[in-house]
Amino acid sequence: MVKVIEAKKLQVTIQTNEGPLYAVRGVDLDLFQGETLALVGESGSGKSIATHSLMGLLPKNAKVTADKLAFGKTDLLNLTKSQEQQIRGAKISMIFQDPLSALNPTMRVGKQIAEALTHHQHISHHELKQRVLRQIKDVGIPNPSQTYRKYPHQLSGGQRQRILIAMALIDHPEVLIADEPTTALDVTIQAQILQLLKQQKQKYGLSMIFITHDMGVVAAIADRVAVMYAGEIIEVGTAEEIFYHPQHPYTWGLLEAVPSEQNPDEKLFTLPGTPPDLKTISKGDPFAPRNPYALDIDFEQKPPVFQLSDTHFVKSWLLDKRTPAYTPPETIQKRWQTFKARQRGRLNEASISV
Amino acid sequence: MLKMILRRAVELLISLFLIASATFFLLAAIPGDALSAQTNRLPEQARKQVYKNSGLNKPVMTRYVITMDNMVHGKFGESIVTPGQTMTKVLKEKLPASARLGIQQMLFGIPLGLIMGVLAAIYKNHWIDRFVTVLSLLLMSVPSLVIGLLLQSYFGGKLGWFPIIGWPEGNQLWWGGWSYTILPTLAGGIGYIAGYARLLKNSMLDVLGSDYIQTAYAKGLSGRSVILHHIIRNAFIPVTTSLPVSIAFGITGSVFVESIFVIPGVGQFFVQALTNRDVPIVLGETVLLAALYIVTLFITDILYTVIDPRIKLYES
Repeated sequence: MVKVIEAKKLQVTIQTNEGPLYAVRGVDLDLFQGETLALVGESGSGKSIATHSLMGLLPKNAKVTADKLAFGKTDLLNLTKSQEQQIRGAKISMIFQDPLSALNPTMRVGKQIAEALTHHQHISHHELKQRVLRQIKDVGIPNPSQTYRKYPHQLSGGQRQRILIAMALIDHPEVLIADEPTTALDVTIQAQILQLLKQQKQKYGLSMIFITHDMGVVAAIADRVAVMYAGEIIEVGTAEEIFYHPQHPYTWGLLEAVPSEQNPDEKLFTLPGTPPDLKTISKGDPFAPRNPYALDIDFEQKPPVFQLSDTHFVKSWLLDKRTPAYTPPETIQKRWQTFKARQRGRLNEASISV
Repeated sequence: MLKMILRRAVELLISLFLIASATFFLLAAIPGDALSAQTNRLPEQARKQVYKNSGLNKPVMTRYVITMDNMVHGKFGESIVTPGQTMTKVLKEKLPASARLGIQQMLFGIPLGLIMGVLAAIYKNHWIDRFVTVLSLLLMSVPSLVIGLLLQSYFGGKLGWFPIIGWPEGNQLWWGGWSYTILPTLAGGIGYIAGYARLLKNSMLDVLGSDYIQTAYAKGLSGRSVILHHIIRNAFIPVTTSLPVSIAFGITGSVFVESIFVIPGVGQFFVQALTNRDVPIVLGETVLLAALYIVTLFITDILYTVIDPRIKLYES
């Protein structure tokens, strides 16, 4: 598989008045051609900052270092300003959480979409307008020519997000970074926007990084999932591996916190404690203080990466050979059983086909 | 639109009536009147006669009705302190000098302040930003009076480039005699530079931190086009709010600059009228200032709708 984006030991440090803030702490991240990678984690886990660093959209007081940070063959670490501008919007695009504040209130939306194109290409005024109108229609907004002349406040939340998507995709980028694009929308509109993103992804062969903290949305859209905690990826795997064979207690917590349809009256699980202060670097695993499964070593030493399959990687001492036996929460055990059953089913299928 | 203008005109009249009434009663309520200083050494009978001549012996309500009736007919009456001086004469003889001075100060100070504000915001934490911040703080803290005196002594006295005092009159009232106007314009205009530089810098920084600016960068726009197409227009919205105040007060004269440069304007005259409780002149001044303010406010309301499509003056 072709890697569109490759990050090795990505670190982002933000200089604040109270000292450095270690927002991203050595993230290894690959995005393969045509896949949707979901990046999940609590607020402040560094998921937005990590992706913004790909586009050079971080504030001036942020310092990005990495062993490698590449888009295809382009090194993203040492770009000039104009090279950066050639990539933004044209190769890597972005859509944002709150479509109202992400659109300029005093500019017609048609013009805002057009801007994404005029900066990268020289095309005639007429052709430009035709392309914008086509693009507006393409994202599912009826009567494009009317919408072209509207201001953001005259559109509904869903329409605004569609406009942002149109703007992001008009120059046919290879990568789309979606930064919680459905969080500010209500559930029915959420589903429509997810549907639209899937459809556009197929149409243009996009690769997508989808940032969210909503596991329901992850299930609906992701091929692979990376779970972030305190600036690190603590577990990454295919959607199936993360949902049915999760290994990290933090991932367990995230999954348990999703309301279940089977027991609607059940009290929701909440993760105890708060995320760690990103200004300090703890000796051990930053999740240890909130982790009911924490071992003594968790407070002493950071866990290494354990590999479970070609695609599944976990940073947790629980997977070490020396760790005594433990039982994950009941719901997680059920998920593991489902996973085993599926694996067996697949093996049987495979043997039949052979 | 026409309906809107009519409605505003009615509102203007009501506001002026209320403002004039409030001013009248406030003046009546404070101790002393226009004649008390001149007449306190006169014998009782002579004093009564003076009061009777000016009509100040009448009860407050009667005076109020007479004053309002005159005002409706466009007459503010003769000054009690300076006989022969009326609002009409003041407007004709003294206002042009003040208005020209104010307009020149604003035309010099506001654009310069706005440019400095833009630069300070773009080059935040750069030496340009620090320079603008320190300069505007300095200019804001030093009163125009001091700046005026310094300008007089240096450019007027030491270098002898410009006349130290005086103001163009006669057929040069509105145009010409520029050398006389330069120092007063600088002295008062500097305050606008400081105020507007700070205002625009802060609103630019607000806009810079907003999400749609990030979107604009994410689209691949260059810093220049982000500033030109996305930041400036949105940052001007708060500036539009302060313009009516500046214009109304700018035109109606500044006491300090007018007095140190000996400019025959309305600024000092109005302040004297107030300390003398010269009711006709104070009322005239208040109504003039209020009318100017309300009219410029209406104009800026229209400006708002041009700058910000979210604002509508009337439902269509």
